[in-house]
Amino acid sequence: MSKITLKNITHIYDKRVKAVDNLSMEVDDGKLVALLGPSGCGKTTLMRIIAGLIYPTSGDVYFDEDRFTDIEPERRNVAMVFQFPVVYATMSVYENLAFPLRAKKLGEEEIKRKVKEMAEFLELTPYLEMKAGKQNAAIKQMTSLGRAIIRDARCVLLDEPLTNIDPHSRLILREKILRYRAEKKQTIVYVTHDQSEALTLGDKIAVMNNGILLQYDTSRNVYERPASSFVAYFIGNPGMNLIECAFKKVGSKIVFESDGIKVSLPYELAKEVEKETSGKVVLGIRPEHIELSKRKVEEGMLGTCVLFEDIGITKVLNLQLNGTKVRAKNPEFEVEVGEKLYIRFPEERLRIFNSKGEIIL
Amino acid sequence: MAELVIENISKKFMGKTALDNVSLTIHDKLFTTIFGNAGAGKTTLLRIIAGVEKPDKGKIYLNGKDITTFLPKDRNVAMVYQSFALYPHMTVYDNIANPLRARKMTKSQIDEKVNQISKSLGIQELLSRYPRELSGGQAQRVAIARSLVRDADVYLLDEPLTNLDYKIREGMREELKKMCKDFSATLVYASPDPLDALAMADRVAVMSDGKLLQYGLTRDVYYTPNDITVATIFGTPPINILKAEAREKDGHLFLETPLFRTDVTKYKERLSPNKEYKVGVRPHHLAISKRKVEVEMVSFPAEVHLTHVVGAETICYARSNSEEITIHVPYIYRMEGLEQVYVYFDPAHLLVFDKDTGLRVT
Repeated sequence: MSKITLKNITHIYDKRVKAVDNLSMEVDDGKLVALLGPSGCGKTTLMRIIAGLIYPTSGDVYFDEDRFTDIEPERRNVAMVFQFPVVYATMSVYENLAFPLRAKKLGEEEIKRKVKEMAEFLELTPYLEMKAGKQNAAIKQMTSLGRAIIRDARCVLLDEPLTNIDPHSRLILREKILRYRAEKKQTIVYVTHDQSEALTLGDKIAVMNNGILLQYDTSRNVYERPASSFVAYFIGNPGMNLIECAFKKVGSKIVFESDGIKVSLPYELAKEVEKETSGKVVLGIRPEHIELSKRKVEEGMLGTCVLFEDIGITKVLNLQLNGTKVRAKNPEFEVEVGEKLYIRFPEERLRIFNSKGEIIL
Repeated sequence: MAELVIENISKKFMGKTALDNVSLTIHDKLFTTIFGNAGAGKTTLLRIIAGVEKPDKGKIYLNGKDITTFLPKDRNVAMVYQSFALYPHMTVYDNIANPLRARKMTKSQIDEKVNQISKSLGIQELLSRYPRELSGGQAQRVAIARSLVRDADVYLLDEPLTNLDYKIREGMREELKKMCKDFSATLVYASPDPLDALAMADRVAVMSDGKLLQYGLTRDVYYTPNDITVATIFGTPPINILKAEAREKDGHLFLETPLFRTDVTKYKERLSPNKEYKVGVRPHHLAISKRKVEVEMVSFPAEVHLTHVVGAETICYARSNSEEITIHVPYIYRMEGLEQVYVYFDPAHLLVFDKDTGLRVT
């Protein structure tokens, strides 16, 4: 169980595509960090750099205080689980689990005890004598997880381990990972493009895009105070509405305006925006925070519902406010497509980003 | 105009039934989802519509014309697969433009089409890249773009979003629905994800083990499933199912489950006293509260032992009287250890099924 430190990691493929761009971060010992980002953001590359499977173009990898950049993968003692389950197909599930222990030359009795314990924990006991290659994707993935964590590795790297298994087994595996983490206090880096996995599992979440680390924070903060407009869009389903607005000071308020949108905030609260020399900012509001009414309300903006989806847990509405389209979510609201509505953005829910996409408010 | 009639289609593979007498009509300009778990027969049905598979029995009509024996190329049906290869020596732009060049469109027409579809799939910045420089999800989007770029009577999509990033999937759902409307396209979309159907489809066909279980407007199928199988598979997280027994007392009829009792006198025509049933209530119809509140609702105590935050919602897993219950709430619920809560729901949302036939009674 080690702390992982990444210092100024850059990786360029084919001298052309920059996969990781000067990224630094620390994963504290015993914590689970979710590395979250869209496909192509560099998260898998970063994971492979930690494992030693890729040598970074520049930068260093440390475990605790020791520099490991030049140490080959076999000597790093890092356990890894991939998106597509990797098992020794012709071996039994038992032999798969025992494999890393045999490599460590443990005694037969100890191996037997450890495999039994792991099988119990992962609910693999009924499959122990069966060939691993004949099992379904979920059992195979459970087996590769077991094989990765059965030895005491320095840290465990999980690369989208749940992506290719059925939804039901996904929940079981997710719970196993949580329990393993809680019991063993193992350092885990968990790569995912699925925000719900990240928000559920991660002590902290590292959001990446285009090889850059955009935010490294708790799940609450990435949701409530996204560091940039990309994080705001990426977290949430659907993500935050982002509306480019002009602003001006009117009396004791700052008024933000765009086609169909007019919102004002107290000057004292929003005066930071005056540093924005372009005269434009991006207003952010989460779909679930938008207030809707069929009757006229104070500060309500008029819009038309252009799309209405009932997805069970909630209703998703697309609203057209003149030239601006906004998404809203509301578990109760029923409306016909084409109906006019009054729309309000509650002041305390508004976020403001500058022209570079960085949060100001 | 595209109306697709599927009539009594059956298909076996090596003696194993893949499709069992399936009939349905796919309506013009609508978004239809074929929903079912792996092995339900979705892909086989799509392949039969496309003409790459022959049915053992039954017929396919497109706009009134029997096309059962037509070759795939004579059907004007476009199929998007879960995964297929891109030309490695061509840029993304050329990969997408390829089907249009084959149709002898002008350069500016091609340019417009390629740009339009790339923009909607969020790949416009990748147009000059080669396939080897794409991530898996990016390559998948390029493949989808290449299939959707050409004009066809019917587009068949076989789980095209399965391997895509969550965020892209979210955007794609909206894009596909918009495309269906804007281009008046007829889309048939196979998926094992209930959310795909709920978020996009005008109509949904629920399949299981080669059989069509229910076909209708998406909301109707979701809120009034024909039977317990449809209720269970078409919804995520899955519906909570409990054993129940009907009991008569003082002229009232009650349903008793291990967790709660509710008055069902108004359904007494359809329920018999002392008979066993199964009842279902969807996770999002359950609400939780840390304190007991007096409301006109059914309530029972439970212990939440696990929560999953999904975007701005939370799925809570709870135990009550040895039953596992799933509750889906539309806000972020953070748990500090095990939590004792009260679970509430409006009995109007209770679905009652016959214990033996599985058919919905109320």
